[in-house]
Amino acid sequence: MVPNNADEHDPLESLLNRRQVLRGGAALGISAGLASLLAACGGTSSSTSTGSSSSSSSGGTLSDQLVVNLADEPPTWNTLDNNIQYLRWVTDQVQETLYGFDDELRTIPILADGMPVQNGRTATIRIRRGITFQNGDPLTAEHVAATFNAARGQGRIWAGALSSLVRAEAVDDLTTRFTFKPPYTGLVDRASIIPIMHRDFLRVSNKAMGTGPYQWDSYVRGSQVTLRAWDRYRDGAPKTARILFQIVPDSATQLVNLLRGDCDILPMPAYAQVPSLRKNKKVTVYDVQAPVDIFFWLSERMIPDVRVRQAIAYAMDRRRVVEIAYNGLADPGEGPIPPSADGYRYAERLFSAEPDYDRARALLREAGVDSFRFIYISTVEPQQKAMAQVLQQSWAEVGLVADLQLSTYAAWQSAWTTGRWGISTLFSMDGFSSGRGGWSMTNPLSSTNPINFGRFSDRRMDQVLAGVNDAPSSEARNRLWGEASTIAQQQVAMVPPVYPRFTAAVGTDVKNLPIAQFGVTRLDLKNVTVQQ
Amino acid sequence: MAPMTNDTAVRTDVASSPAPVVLSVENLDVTYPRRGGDVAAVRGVTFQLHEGEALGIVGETGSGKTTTMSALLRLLPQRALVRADAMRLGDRDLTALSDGELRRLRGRELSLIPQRPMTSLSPVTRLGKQLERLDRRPGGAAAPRPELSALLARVGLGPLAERLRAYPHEFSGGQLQRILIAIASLAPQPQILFADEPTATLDVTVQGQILALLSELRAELGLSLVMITHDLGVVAQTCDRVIVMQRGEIVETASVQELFARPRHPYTAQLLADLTRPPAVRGRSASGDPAAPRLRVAGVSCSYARPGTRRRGGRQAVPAVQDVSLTIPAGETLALVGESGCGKSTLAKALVGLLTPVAGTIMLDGLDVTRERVGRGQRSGLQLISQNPFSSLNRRRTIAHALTQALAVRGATPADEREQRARELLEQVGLDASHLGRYASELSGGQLQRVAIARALAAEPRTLVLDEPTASLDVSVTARIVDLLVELQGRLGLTYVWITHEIDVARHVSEQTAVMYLGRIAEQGPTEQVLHRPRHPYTASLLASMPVPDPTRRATFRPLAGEVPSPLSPPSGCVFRTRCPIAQDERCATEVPELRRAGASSSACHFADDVAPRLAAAGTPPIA
Amino acid sequence: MPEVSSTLPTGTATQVRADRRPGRVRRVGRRAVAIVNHNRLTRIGFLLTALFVLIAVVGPMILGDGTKQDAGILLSPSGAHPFGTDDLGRDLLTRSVAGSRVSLFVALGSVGLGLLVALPIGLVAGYFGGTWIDELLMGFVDVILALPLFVLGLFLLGITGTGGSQVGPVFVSATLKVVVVIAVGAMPFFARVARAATLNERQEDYVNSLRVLGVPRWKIIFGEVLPNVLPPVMVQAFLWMAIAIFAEAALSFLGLGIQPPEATLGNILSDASSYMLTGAWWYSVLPGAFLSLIIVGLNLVGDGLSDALDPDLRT
Repeated sequence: MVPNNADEHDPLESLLNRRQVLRGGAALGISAGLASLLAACGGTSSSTSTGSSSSSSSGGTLSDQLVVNLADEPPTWNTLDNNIQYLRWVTDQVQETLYGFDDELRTIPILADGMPVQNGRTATIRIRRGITFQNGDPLTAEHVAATFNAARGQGRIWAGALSSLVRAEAVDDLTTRFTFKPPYTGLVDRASIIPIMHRDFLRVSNKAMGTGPYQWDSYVRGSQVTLRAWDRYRDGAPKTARILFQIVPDSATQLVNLLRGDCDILPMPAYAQVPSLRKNKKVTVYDVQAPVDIFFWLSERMIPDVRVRQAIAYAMDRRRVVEIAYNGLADPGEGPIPPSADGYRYAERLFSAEPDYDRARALLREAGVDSFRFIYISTVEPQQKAMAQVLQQSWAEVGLVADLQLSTYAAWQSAWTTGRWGISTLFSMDGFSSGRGGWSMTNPLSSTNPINFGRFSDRRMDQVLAGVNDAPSSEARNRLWGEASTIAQQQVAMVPPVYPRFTAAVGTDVKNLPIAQFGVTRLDLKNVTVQQ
Repeated sequence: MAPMTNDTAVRTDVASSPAPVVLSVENLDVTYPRRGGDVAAVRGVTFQLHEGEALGIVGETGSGKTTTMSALLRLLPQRALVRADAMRLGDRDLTALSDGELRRLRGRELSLIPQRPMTSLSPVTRLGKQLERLDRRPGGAAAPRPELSALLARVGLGPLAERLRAYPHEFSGGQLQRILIAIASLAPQPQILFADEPTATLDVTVQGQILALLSELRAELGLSLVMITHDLGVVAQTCDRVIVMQRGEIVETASVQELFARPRHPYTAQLLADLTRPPAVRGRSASGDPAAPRLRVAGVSCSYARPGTRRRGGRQAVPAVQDVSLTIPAGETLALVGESGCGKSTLAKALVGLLTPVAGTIMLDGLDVTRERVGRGQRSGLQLISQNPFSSLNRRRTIAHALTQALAVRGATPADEREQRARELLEQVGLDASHLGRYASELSGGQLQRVAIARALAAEPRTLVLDEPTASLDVSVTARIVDLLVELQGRLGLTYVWITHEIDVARHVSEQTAVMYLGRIAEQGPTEQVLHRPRHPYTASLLASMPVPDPTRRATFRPLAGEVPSPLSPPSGCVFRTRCPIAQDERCATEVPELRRAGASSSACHFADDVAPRLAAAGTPPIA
Repeated sequence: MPEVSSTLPTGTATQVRADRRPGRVRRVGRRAVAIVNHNRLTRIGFLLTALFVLIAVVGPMILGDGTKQDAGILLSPSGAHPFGTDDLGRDLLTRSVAGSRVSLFVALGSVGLGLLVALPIGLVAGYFGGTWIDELLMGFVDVILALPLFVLGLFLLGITGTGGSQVGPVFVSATLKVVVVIAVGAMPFFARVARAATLNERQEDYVNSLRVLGVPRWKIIFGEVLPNVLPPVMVQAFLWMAIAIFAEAALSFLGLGIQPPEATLGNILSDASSYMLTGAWWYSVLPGAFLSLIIVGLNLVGDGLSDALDPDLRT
């Protein structure tokens, strides 16, 4: 059987296309403390930021505006070209997917009328009758087919994920038929992520249009996006008239906005700020296990001896990373599949939260190594930086010396592609590329994957990953992902020290926010109201 | 311009009769507190100024003349301690006035004409705006435009009235000084005009014009004038009474006639003696062999690239020197006279090789030094002494360094003998070895000029080009430096090309004089001839423009009108015709006059043979 | 002014030398004292700068390099930790002191390197002012000037990585790279000041006199003009030391500078920024105040130098 490359390019493309995944506190301020302090004091004094002004406990009237702060803006508003969270948190209010997740994060149809009917290499999906786009056009299978055909096109972000899709075609008004090259089990996963676009909007990048509850109002680059409620939405117009997404890169400013009531929802506040946010009565902080991942590659090329890699893994002080770098908002890590993914329960537990220095020393002795030096590259978000230093100190206990090279995303990327590193790590949010699957976390470990810059090569891993694509059931597939995670742990190819949680700081005036959706890193704002 | 002889006579009368006193100062002291002893800048200065009187305050650098004025106008820095028994303006006590009250007096009753017109106006504001701001009526309203134009017309800027929209840099120094005089003398209620070296930065002919304008306005408006200057000629030509200051004290007060006729204080007497000296007695034989001159300049022309036009293709050459030929026998001095911009400094640069002439040859002892192959060694026979001694020595190097470096370049002196030789050189110029370790900033201007001469001598030159060697020195120092140079010439057999704008110096030191105008030689010949029987109207006018240090000769003070035209667009025909009192339209405008023999000299005037009668006919008095 | 009489006894050679040396030493000493005492602010500046140098040199020997995560995290200032501790449990006083050593190295290194390149460029360009040589050199300088320091940093550190790199046989450490980036950023400013001063100096008569004497050009430029051009350049240099420290802090803040866990004031402040509004005020305020004092000190020295060396303001 030909090795299945279905998803090989997926993480590469999503990585190369997204900008710095989480800016966190790394604001581009020049004057360290003072600049951000000034920025913080400046706050947002713009007239649009009235937000949910300080809560009067009467709780009677509802605000007509919901304010969300985002740390960054995407380079495009076209969901076929990017899947960074700052894009999707906005466009998910405008566009919808064929499938979605219920409060238990089980897959449910949204635009689809039921689960797909799989028949060998073809599958058909019917959509619900009577759905229209915001411009009045009815949603037909033509649009669904056009969306998927465009999504697998050259240069689109989904091209890798859909590389085994031969074509999508409209059978009738409501039925779309998908034809695959090799057998493919990922259709529902992908259809839960890829928003259905209007045929005429496939190349539009300056705004979004779809079938969702909110429609595009305006966008000011570098400043804000405004959405307004669509009164002909099939379930009735949303109760909040406007959503304002403000782009606020500086974490201190975000915090001030939130505390002054100028911001209602702040997804992913800086981890360091969560403890103090928790003390504030006006704000509720949620943290949820979600596919917020740390890619933590160990290079087989630079650290060929598996015993040394194992020593590295055993000497990591995961507890301290959880507590210090993530302020407790993470769980000790094992393999690449996180607890939020379906395959997690099938993976083995090899490492403990506390470092096992004796074992690490023993492994190094066995490998005949007194001390070992390697380069550790990472992006420079505060929690990544703290993690690097905590790990560095715990490795030093057993004579492992990490030379840290922390840099901007772009510099990290160029260092990463050279392959001259012992450990490479990246903070990433994968809810929009994998859903609850393990696609993007495991695929980089395939020996044929072009982004396998650490040259990890394991026959068993290749077989497992190939098996994922034609697994007979989702259960079988999850088991394979679990196995892949276990192999990655045993071979120490990818051993994230922690599984960070998805966090969001939400004003206490905000009601009806589906917290469960955080489990797939999503914001669903259609029913949200803000007490005035 | 109105004739001035009568005014002078009238004013002398006024001065002798007891006119009311407008300003009186008694026992003025100005002290600067310093660590290690206070410095007294002015001590016990007492004087009175009568109504309508012109009082000259004369003194050399550091004599306290400007400090005295600044103390009166309260313009001194905060740390200066001013004390006086009395300072009265009319019946008002100046010491009792608040700063605000005094500020209101300045610019109304007390006006100041500053030394540097170029820096006295804001470079970024149009002239009209500045005049409006400065010339506030009592009610605070600005003067209307027509009045401003009239004001400018009054100071001789008639056709420029519409240039109220122009910026200061579009005017010449002379024009700017006229504007400042207009501002000062036409203030709301002017009483006293303080003029602080008002012509120090101006050319001779323009200086004459400005002095004449000042006298004229004063007579017309009945102003009192305090003229602060180092130039006894200016005093002689413009003042009624004179105060001579030395080291912060008044050494002599006298009427101008008395001072020049019978100086009482030795310092005054020395100043006057230094100014009016007979030609130097030459202790050398006239060994000059005209067949083998030391320096021969033949048909030299120089030009500059016009600044700002260096961009591709747009290079425009500005002719600075045109077709100049000179011959100087060994051991003699040629004086090169002319106003600024006449090309004399450019010629000096060409002579010493700082500038390559576009045409012509410069032969030093029969060797063409303009050719590229000529090495440094042969060039070193020609050395340069420049105008500003403060700039001609590196202020961060010792005197010893300057001299030994020059000796090292020359290469004739072995390294271990250089210090000894440097000491000899210093002695030669009247300094001693104790100066060797000093820095330039520790020496006075005269000492620095001596060092500069010593350094030039280190190269064992045969010819020195002296570019206004005394222009930035005080009168008494000038005389000492001139004496030194004359002495060295006799002793070492040097040949001098002596550039100067001071006729007295030229008369004193040179055998030959060449007068330049707009890059060309106007007249050239034996000094005696050129400076006493000029064969070119420009020479005659230049002589008449000089403020002669003799109050009895005010009649001959007749400044040349107009300003030097731009070398970019020189007048056709004779370049001097635009300012020439005897120019005739057809011939002078079309025909370029050749430099030709006229009497004992050569002159580039069509009427060289009968310049004197023509000038007399044109109303210019003859030169004594 | 009275002139010196024309004949005075000649001193012997030994007398001359004896007269000269103490003269120069005294002169330089007097000058230095005069500059330090220029005014109260300058005195404070020199005091702060001296203190900074002392702390930077001696401090780390006593306190260590500040990389040990051996205390409780985010402890507020106390006797044991006068500056408190950071989010990884490191003593902030130790880190600030260790950081000041890096700051000093960066300041001296980058300014020194910048001067080394800029002075010859500025001098030669100024001496040949207006010619093609001038245009070529200053064109090069302007190109560099047009690149903002941080773009330059991003570029240089982006292509070579933020750690150390091997350039041929030479190992360039991360610190050295930061020094080079800042030196490149500073170079145009030094070159321009040097050129402007040289253009002025070129107008001085002594340059012409030396040319007429036949002194070679390079000797005039580097032997005679250079000492006169140095004062304004040194003023710039001092101001740039402050900027260099600031720039290192900013580069570290962007993650382009010196790598953790090595302490630099910039790294500390960068890490502190997440904790600024969370109650751990000491984390940013104390190292920030420390940095501010250093920069204020250097700026005051620079200002004082600029006043003291300005001939128009000399008393």
